[in-house]
Amino acid sequence: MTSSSTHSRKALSKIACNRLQKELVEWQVNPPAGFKHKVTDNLQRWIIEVNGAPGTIYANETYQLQVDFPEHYPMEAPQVIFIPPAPLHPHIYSNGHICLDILYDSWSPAMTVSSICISILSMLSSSTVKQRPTDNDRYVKNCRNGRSPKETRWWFHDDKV
Amino acid sequence: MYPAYRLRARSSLEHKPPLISKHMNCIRMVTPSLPKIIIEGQKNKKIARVLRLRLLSPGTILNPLRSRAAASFFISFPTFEIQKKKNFFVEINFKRKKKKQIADFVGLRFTVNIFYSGKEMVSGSALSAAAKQAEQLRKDGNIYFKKDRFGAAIDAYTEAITLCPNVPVYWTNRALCHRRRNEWLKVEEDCRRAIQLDYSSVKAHYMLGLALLQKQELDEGVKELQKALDLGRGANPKGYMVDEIWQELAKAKYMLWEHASSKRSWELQSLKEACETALREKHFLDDSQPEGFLDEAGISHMKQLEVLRQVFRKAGEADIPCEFQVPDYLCCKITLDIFCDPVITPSGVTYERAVILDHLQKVGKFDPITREPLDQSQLVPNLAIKEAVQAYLDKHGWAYKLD
Repeated sequence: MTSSSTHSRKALSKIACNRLQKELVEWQVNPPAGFKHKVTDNLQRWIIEVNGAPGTIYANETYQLQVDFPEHYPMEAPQVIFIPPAPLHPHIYSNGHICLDILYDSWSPAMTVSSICISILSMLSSSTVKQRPTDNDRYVKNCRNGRSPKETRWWFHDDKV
Repeated sequence: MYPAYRLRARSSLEHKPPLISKHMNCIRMVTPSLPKIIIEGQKNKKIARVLRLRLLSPGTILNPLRSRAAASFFISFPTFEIQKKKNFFVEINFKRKKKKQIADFVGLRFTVNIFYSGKEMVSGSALSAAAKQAEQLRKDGNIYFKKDRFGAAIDAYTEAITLCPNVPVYWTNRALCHRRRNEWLKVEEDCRRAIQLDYSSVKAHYMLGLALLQKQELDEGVKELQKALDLGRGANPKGYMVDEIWQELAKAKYMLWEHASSKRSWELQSLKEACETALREKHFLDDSQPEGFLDEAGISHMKQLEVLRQVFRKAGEADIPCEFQVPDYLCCKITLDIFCDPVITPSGVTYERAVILDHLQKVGKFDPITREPLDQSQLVPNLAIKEAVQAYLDKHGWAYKLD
């Protein structure tokens, strides 16, 4: 269990449940390349295996994403974090939190788990250096009490990487 | 031609609300024609008033209402205005239902209560005493209902109905109690009455639909639910009722489809078997002719059978439910489900109305896919998609199936 499990979780609403079932079926028929959904009976938390895209600095590396869905998904963004060890990346903190605008301020209900995964993979793929964000230590320290990344006030200063 | 009874009502505005009560005895009423009472009075102020006529009868009464006060029968009148300084009179016509019931009026005693009320009546802020009492009864009924005491709630609503039979809410509320007690015939009765009073009552159409479905009158029930849904969407597209009605409608339609499709597949199956047998027999006859290319005939025979099977599979295709057969263009990009009430944005993207409204309220004022600024007022119903969905569902009834 990661620190974020302390984040209070309410059962999924009916709309959320319906939509997640549909997404899951669609995923099984047509999964995004490089991702594998670990089968569980928990609809509210998906564990997804990510393979670094060939030809990038993360090729042949495997990481795990944990996706937690809020009660009012898709009107609220899911909480997406890497289960440590998280990939070394200028926008990924060592506690697994990801600095990616679509997960927070720029969320849109038309996005799906599939499209989030593709965004994360493209974020990984476009990186040229393996390093932590400059404020990693300070941020991770702040989050020690198990704060969800969704409570962070993110500052998206760089969309090149 | 009608027997008429005149009663002079005093005009009095000193008290508020003043009440004038007169008793009169009806010695005889000629029965074959409808009885009529004329009440006359004088007014010197422009006011509205409510008239209530009460018939006291020891015997049967016209159109009896189930009530604790079963011996009295009320007629309520809507409010109306009286011209300044003019005499007024009101005619009360009894509706005839059966000759026998009219005959029961012989020897009736009438109490005529005329309620006057002051200026408040005109502005609509005050209710007549009877209406007030009925409202209180409705509130009591609602409290009982919340506590699942349906019997007590029914009694309260019944009394309210007795006081003011023309308020559709009392009927629909009572119907709701009957519904909870699974007394569907009573539900039907009350709902029909409510619809008579107010054709646009969503709840009445909805519960009537449910009652008809219970009676296995699927087609009629679906029609009522459809009406309820259309009315509900017009009144309050985001209301909880709309979703609930849609669910019930979908369930009913699915049932209709199940019936129809099992009949169809049974027909197809027996036809298919008959065709196969016929082909085999024909082949057998062909075979028995001495000069035939036996192998070729056998092959063509196999082919024919295969084609026959294909033809029948094609014919039954629309009835085979299959996940993900609903085409994407008939599904909302947010719910991923088939459209119920599609609306289109200025960007040209279509969404489910309830969900896009939710998005605009909770997430932000932008189009979820194009991220163009979007306001609720810019949403337009997408009738073409709605028709396409209807056409698709008519053909593929299984798509009504909800999880």
